Amino acid sequence: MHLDALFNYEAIKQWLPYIARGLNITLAVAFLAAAIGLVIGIFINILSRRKVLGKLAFYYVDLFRGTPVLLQLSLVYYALPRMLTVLLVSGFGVHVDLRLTAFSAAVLTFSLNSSAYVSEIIRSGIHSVDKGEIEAATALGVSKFHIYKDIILPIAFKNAFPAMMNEMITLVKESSIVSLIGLQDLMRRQQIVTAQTYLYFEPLIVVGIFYYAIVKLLAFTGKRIEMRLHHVQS
Amino acid sequence: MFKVEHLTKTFGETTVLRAATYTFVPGRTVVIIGQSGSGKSTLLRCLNGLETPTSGTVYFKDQPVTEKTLQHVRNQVGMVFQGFNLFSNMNVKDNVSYALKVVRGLDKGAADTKAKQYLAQVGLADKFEAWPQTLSGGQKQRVAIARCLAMEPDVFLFDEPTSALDPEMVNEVLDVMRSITQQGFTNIIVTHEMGFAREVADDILFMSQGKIVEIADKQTFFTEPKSTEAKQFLLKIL
Repeated sequence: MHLDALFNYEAIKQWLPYIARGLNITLAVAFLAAAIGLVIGIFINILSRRKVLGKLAFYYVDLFRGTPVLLQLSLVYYALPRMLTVLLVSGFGVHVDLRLTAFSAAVLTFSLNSSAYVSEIIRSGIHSVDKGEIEAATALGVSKFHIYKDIILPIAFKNAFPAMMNEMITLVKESSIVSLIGLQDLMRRQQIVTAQTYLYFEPLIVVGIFYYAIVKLLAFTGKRIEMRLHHVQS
Repeated sequence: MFKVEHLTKTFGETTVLRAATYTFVPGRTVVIIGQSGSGKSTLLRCLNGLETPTSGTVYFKDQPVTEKTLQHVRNQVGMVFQGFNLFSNMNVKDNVSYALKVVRGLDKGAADTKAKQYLAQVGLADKFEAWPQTLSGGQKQRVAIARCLAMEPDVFLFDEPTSALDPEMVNEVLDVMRSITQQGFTNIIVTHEMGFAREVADDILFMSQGKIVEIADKQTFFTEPKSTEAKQFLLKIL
């Protein structure tokens, strides 16, 4: 039996550069969403200390964590532009044809979705800081601002870092569903190659290797940074 | 130095401090004793505002302690905790010099020099660069004491400083505390170390169920306690 029958490298070879270019899209969506999600996540944490806005922040987090990301993506891509257009026309009489590119919809959805999870990670990171250390600083007369800046945030960041890294990895993998709105990420390119060549196994394996390599690279980098963070303190 | 009047503190349904009234005289060492849950730590924590009393007033140098004057109070009052509470993201030297920089406004050089001076005083000259996680309990508590000493306060509050220590480390901390009590500070100590209390105290405050039950000089307290609560307590522990 020929190994070719199992994995037809000759047939998939010419498609490799095409599939590889999907990596840019996958990484762009994941990294932009992680960055924007982090900013919104911090913002949610600041808001959550207020009464009315805190309630809103709670429902925001609850909704995004309580519904599938595919549903969120579909709403943002198919329904949101239409909703805004109708609102603008009926509310302000403004006629604009709003459209969202698949890329913008993908980044927007994953930013919002990720921010809900990141805000929880930050919250538990801050919660993990020993109350005694805060009391000691308070008793020394250190201001609230300095306690936050020099004690709570650095310790919270160190404690929350592994979970942040996990969220980043989750984003890379889950971003594969943007293929469903036609964005040409790694996953979508597999489907296109399959449609062109009638090969299933080969492009799936190639795409799988790409995802796995990225995830391993991120995990490795994360571990290195984690070790550094710990090493400085022991 | 400190005066408390009708100080009461409740947490939810439980009253942990009931109308405590006492005047802490400058330069004296007061040891607060009593069973666990008798309100000793709460009384101490009300003095520097770590707890806000439900009712009653704390005076510091004849001024009522309020949200506004709290900073002024904390600047002159050092506190040592049962759990050491060292800053886990700073090494030993920074633990001591941190407040000197952000509260006292010293520059890094002056703060570090001072930190080293006070760390040497508690016998940890060789641990400047060490991280808290690598120290023994006794060493951690001595760093915490150096952190207070460096701020050069008038009053020292000790909240069960040896209760979390392994027995063999208790003495190294008591030694440092003993030398502090000989330096003319006002000391308010909550402890279960009766031998130490007997040795360093000028006055004893005995508390039971949130009340200050007995106030006496140490001689009187340990030899002829008046209240039945104090008698029973001493019988149990001596």
